[in-house]
Amino acid sequence: MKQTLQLHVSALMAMIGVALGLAFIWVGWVPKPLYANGPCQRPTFNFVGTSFDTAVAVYGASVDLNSRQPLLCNGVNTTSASAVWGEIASNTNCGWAQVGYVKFPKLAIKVYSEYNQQDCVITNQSVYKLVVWGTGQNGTHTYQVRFKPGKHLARFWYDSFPIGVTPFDPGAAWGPQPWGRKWTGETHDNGDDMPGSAASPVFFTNLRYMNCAACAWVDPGIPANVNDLPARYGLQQDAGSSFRIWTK
Amino acid sequence: MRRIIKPTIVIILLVVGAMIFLTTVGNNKTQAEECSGVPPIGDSIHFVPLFSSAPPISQSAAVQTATANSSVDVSGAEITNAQFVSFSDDARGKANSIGDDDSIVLDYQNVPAWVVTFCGVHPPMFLPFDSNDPRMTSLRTAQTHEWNVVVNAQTGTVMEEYSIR
Repeated sequence: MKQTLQLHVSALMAMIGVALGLAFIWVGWVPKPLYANGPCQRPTFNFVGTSFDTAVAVYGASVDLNSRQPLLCNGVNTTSASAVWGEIASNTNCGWAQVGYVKFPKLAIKVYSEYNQQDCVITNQSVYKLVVWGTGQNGTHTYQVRFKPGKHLARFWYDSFPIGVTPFDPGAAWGPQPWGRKWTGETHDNGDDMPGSAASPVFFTNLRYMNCAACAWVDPGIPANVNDLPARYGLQQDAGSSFRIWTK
Repeated sequence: MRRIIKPTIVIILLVVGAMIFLTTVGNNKTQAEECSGVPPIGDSIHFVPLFSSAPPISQSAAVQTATANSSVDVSGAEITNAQFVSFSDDARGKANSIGDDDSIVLDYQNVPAWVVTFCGVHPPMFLPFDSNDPRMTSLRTAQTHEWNVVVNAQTGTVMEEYSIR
């Protein structure tokens, strides 16, 4: 008796499932993906932009970025992320001061700054911090990080908003110049989108750096030649050091 | 002979049990220390506990706000701290123009706030290395474990979020 009842319940459930499926087909409703076209494949770091350059002394890095909402491969996958940023870094690249905007799986894009004092393996003894600030506003904004030797710190800027400082003196922690500079888009899974589309890319414009504490901002004159996933991401060099990136 | 074997087995089991217990306790302590929410010395963020004031926003409301509005997914994360503090950030503010340090007016100085610390979270790190750099391997496996959400105790809005190590 009990087995018969279980059989009937199973059959009923199956019929309801089939009926629902047919109903969705009938009304033409197909659930739309809320995530990037690329499925989550493999947590990895992908870059599209300039390579890490240590040819000259670097005291600051600046870039103008237009805001674009990237799609991530999974709405809840905590390893997914997509960001665009500029940075100054130690010559070994183990210490860095970085600023840009980011899309986590949750919520809208955020302005962020991140620093690491000098440690290629983040440990409890490391001095590392990631801070997010407000919601990335529409339009184009300037993201800038500048080392101030007299104040023994590097300061992060989003337009005229100072958003953070390093609690350490990069001049003491990072060793002698030349340091490094880099401007790039970054994703954390092969399925994550870079911000921007072919029709509406992210433009890295007004790339600038300083090669002494009191120098003027100048064009770095380095090409954007890194694209880890050319099948998925687009990269085009524009005038000067400007370039654009997008997801195909 | 049996008289010797039995107590020996019991002692061995007790020792092994104690070792497992102590190892577990040690790990928990490390995890808690990793998620202390204490900013590095000299960081722009600093705060002191407030004990006497009655915050307009309750602790449970602050935790609810922090959980719902966190930029990083904190579902299932342990909340190791929800502290009512006088919060300051000596870096964030507004200047007349970009790079003009001298005109900075700070946003947060001694603001009553709740600092809610989530532990066991893996906020992404944005690494500067090229992807073929061998150092990526060690840094990819390294994790920050905590995420702090600062909630204004008067307005209930999120002021800022950060992860430190």
